[in-house]
Amino acid sequence: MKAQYVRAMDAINQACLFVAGACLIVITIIIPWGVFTRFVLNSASSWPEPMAVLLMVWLSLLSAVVCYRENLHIGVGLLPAALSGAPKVVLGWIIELGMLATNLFMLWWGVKLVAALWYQSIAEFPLVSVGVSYLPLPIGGAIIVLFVIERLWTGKLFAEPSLEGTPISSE
Amino acid sequence: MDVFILIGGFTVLCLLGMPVAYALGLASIFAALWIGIPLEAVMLKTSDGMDNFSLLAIPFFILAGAIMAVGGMAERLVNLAKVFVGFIRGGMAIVNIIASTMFGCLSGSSVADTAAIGSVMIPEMIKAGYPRLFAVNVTISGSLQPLLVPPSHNMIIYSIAAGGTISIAHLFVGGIIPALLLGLSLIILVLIISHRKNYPKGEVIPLGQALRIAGDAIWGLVTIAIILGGILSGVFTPTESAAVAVVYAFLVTMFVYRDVKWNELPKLVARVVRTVGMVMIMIGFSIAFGYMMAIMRIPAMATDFFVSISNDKYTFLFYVNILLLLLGTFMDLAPMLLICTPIFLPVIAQFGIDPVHFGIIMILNLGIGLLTPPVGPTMVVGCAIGKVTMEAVSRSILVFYIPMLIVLALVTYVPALTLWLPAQLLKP
Repeated sequence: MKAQYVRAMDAINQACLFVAGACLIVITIIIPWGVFTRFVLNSASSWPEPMAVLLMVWLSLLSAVVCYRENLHIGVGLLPAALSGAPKVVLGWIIELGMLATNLFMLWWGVKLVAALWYQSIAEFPLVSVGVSYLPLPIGGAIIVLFVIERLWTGKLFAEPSLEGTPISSE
Repeated sequence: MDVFILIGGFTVLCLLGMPVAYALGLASIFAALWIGIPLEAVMLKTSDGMDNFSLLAIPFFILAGAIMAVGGMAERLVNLAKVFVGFIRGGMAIVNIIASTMFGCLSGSSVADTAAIGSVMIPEMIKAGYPRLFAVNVTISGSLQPLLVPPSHNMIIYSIAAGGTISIAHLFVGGIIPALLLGLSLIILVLIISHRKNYPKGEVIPLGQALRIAGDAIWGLVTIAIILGGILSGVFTPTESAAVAVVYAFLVTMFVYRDVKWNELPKLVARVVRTVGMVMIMIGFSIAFGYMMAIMRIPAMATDFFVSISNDKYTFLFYVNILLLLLGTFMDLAPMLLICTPIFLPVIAQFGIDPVHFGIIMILNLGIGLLTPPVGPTMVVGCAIGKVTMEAVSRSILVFYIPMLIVLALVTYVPALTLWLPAQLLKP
């Protein structure tokens, strides 16, 4: 049961990574396309900018989900490093409950926000609801909630970041 | 009490070890509950924080830098720098600093710079007869300039944190002279050390070979021209120049240098996605955090506080520098920029300090924090590549802080170092 849950979470994580990567690639293609239409075709398209910004929100929240599961988020690790044994487990639970609270809020209030804005459409894309640009909030929140459950269940509260595919770093 | 919930709550959550981004989020949520603001507003601000065209430049610059780093650009820039200074005593150390500065113009990131240049330079310096610790120290210290030259994405973060009111182009250009000054001061230091300790000289590279090396490196250097030229001429916005730089970097890496195989690309994209994930969610929540700070009038209180302890802007800048240096040792650059900028902006307006000038001071100051224990990502990466302990580096790097602090003082007290170049090159 536990192993199946972990496998399912692996699959969700991979799916998030895939969708976020696809968003990144699409953004990278459409912005230069916008530049190309403006300078070469002399008719600026209006859609690349809002489209890229919309995808950016999806990219941001889904990649944040991946970073959580892989322990990549920037944090001050002094206290966890100083503790061991039972106190460290307690600290791990406190941190995870904090994550749970934050993401439950994101899920609940994100859903309310999306519901409130669902019948307004984005100015540049009349067929797309404004809600779509806020949808990543509850989705990202819901997935992290699943990941928090996984951590508490497996007890791997402070897994070492894997060296495979480490980020390039933001600093 | 309001302030305690927001700032105190954030501090406690951070110290416990919660990811900084989510600590910002949770503290904002608690504060909103406390003062009775609808939580939809917090969610709206978080999402809107990421819903910003200027921010797109961040993943683009990270991607362009990543492509250049795996594409063998670092090695080619090192070879180019060797042509100019390799034959001097301590030349390899100077090569390291110059290559870092050039590579910074491609990556805009201190950690990426240490990783890329360090992997090439640290083994080469050790082979040439330099002590291992010295090689690591030079690499780490030389990675400060990338934060100050375009396309430093921390400047974009600063501009966003300031509500998008500060021109990214002015910040980009404003950082150039401080970065060169920093590079120069580090070169002077390594020259002095190398002469005292009699470190080796390299060979003079024959003209034919030198020309070949330059021809090889020029492809990468054109990226700098695209970024700077595009922004300075006003042809591109920073975001567009970043996107064009990605396409160009991709074409050069895949079709000219051909050091990267096509099947390595998905892994590269995945690494960039992870980097973006670390930065963007933090920006989103910090915008919500800044919104709560504004509602609780925290920036106004900070202004009153600083005005009450001093009415002289130079004294104020002195205190701010000390404060940021201390905080910077514990916290990374991006979160500090996101949290401190909205607090300090009204204060500097009160003192008549230019926000571009202040941004460069903050980035340089907090950048030094990346090279210090206990929380110093650049130092950690440098130690890992050089296979030395943090303890050993923490002691031996002390002398390298001297030129950095001198340049920080100069940049703080001589605003022209930052503001002169943008005034010459850009429209106000």
